[in-house]
Amino acid sequence: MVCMVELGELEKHHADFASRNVRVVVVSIEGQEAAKKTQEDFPHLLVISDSDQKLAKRAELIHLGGGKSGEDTLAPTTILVDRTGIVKLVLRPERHIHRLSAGELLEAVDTAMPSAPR
Amino acid sequence: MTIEAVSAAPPRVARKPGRLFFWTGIALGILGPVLYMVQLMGFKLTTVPWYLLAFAGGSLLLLLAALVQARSVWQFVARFVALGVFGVVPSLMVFFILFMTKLPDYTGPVARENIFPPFETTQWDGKPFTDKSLQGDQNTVMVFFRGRW
Repeated sequence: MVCMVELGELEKHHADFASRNVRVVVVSIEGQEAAKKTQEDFPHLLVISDSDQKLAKRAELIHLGGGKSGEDTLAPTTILVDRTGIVKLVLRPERHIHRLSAGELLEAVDTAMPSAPR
Repeated sequence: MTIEAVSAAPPRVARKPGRLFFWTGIALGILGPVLYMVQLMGFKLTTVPWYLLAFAGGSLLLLLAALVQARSVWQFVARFVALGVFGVVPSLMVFFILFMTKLPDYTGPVARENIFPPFETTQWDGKPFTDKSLQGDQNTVMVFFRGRW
């Protein structure tokens, strides 16, 4: 539920991200059907279906047994990457029920990538 | 002629506050989760709801106090059930939400001022998405989330 609220806020502020020349990519390890539904719900975000967990394992973002039924899931993490592919910031909350607000994320973008146009 | 003193009304017996504790305890047990739902769904705030500790703790203490002041078996049973449903269960849930949801610090290979490690995955429509997709005209915010549940 917290995840959907987070994505909803990102969708709501998509214009603020676009004005900074930033696209928002959201990644989960759910299957393609779930990813398709998420894309329909949040059309201004780009949804990645990492069901094989290739990206999640490469970036070491798997939260073992963290799912609601004890299955593996992703540890909520936000990563800012500039357009040359360089990582500018890695943000992880202390608890998975806590997420950055869209305002906090925009502030982080302005701080980490100050050259991004507004 | 004798005038009999009219006896005054018997003094009111002081009522024990058990009933007040009981209903206030139940109200606190319900109000905490309701407020969290309002926070999430109404105000879209994803901060940690530390205030749930006060509501759950208050509910537990008040319902315990009400239980102690039960004056009949029926009252005891009713208050015992209320303690379980509105006191103990919410307290356990709050304990879980606040203390069992801690995430480990990130110690993986993605590091500031380094290129994102090579990877291959797919978009929602099956198209490939790789580390090369992060390079181009736009900066990218990658939000890794737990899922639709």
